[in-house]
Amino acid sequence: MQQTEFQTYPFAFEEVCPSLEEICEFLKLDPAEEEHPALVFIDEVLPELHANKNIRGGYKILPVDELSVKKGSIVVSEIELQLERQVCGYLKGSDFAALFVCTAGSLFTELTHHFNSRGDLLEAYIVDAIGSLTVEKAMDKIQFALKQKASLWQMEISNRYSPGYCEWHLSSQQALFGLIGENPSGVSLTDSCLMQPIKSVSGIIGIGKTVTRKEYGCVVCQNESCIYRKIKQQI
Amino acid sequence: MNQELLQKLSECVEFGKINLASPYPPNMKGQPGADEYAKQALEAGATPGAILDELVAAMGKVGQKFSENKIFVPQMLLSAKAMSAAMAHLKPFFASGAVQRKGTFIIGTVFGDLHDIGKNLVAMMVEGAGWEVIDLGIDVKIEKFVEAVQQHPGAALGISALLTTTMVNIQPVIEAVKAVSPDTKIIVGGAPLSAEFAASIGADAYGKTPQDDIVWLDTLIA
Repeated sequence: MQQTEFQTYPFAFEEVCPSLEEICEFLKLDPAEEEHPALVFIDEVLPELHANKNIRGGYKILPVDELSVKKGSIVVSEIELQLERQVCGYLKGSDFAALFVCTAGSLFTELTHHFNSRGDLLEAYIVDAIGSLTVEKAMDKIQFALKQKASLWQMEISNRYSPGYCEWHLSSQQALFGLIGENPSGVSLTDSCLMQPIKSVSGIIGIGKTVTRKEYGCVVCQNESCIYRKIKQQI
Repeated sequence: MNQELLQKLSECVEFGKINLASPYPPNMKGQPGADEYAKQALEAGATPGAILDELVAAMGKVGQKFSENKIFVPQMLLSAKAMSAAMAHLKPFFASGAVQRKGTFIIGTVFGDLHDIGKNLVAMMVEGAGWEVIDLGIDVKIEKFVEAVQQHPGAALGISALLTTTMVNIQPVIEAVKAVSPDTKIIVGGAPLSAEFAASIGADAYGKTPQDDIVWLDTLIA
């Protein structure tokens, strides 16, 4: 394994389009209810989303200089990231870190605003949900590509972790994006560390011979009031 | 007759039957929806106030079911759509003053934050609870909150944030609003917030769910 420049992966929507079952699971809909307005709308809007040409992401692999679970920090290319203890623990054994960013493009946000402005909140909510699922599916593919790359070096990869989750403060986005540097994803940060386009993800994946993949998401997050946790609890 | 129409209207809102054309829910397919029943109820002599009371009660049931995880966001939004279809028939009566709302609720997502799903859900449920809602949108600057409060004396204010980096922006909004309008009641909400945080920044209340906002707002007019 060695340090790399940003590796880019572009995707057509059909490559990372969530299935109807996945969308229904996310929205807690019964796919058998064919006449449900939400399902009718999903059927209508999916072809429109195929026009999305801006789904892309990737990662930059950098050596890990130091990782301290006690301090909750990791030093990558001489830059310290405060991940907090929980995420640091999950990255234990990392010799390298893949710093990733991936976006589903701005089409989802534009469509969401369009529907919201017409008072079509259900349609806006569905487009937003499909956008969230799409960017995660794109990132799944990137993570899989990274896993294959690591296996060539007899290394394992961790799960992926993002600022804003598991006590890793969102303000770390600035340092993370500083480390990732110029890249073709087109994702930028606002002053409040919000990614633009909104349907984007960023974070870190640990790489090393003794790294193990741990659970992530609601199982380990402490945020009891998150709307996504609420949805998952209902599944 | 009126009572029967109002009962049907209530069921349409509760189960998300928007109008005659909408095929959902399947057991109400081919039947009139909230749109038609609201019109029929008015024509049959039901007062706009009685219709509004029915809508509020129906949305109350929806909010309660959502709080108890018995229904989900899409179902709640369908109910809101049905409510809006019925509410459209009441608009002229709101404009003329023939029917009064409970009060005015101003809501917005704090500056720096572009998330609107939670804010929209609260706005929609509060409107369904009989309040006039002024939605300032997302990324709302301090000045815009202050201006809205000054334009709507007596209105309550709701401020939303979804990020740990933007929830800290709520405090300066509260300070600016209270400086010009000390009596304005403010509720805050959003995934990373808590009742403790709300109290620490000078908010009057914290809403974990849309139903919390409605219950709190109703205490203001009790």
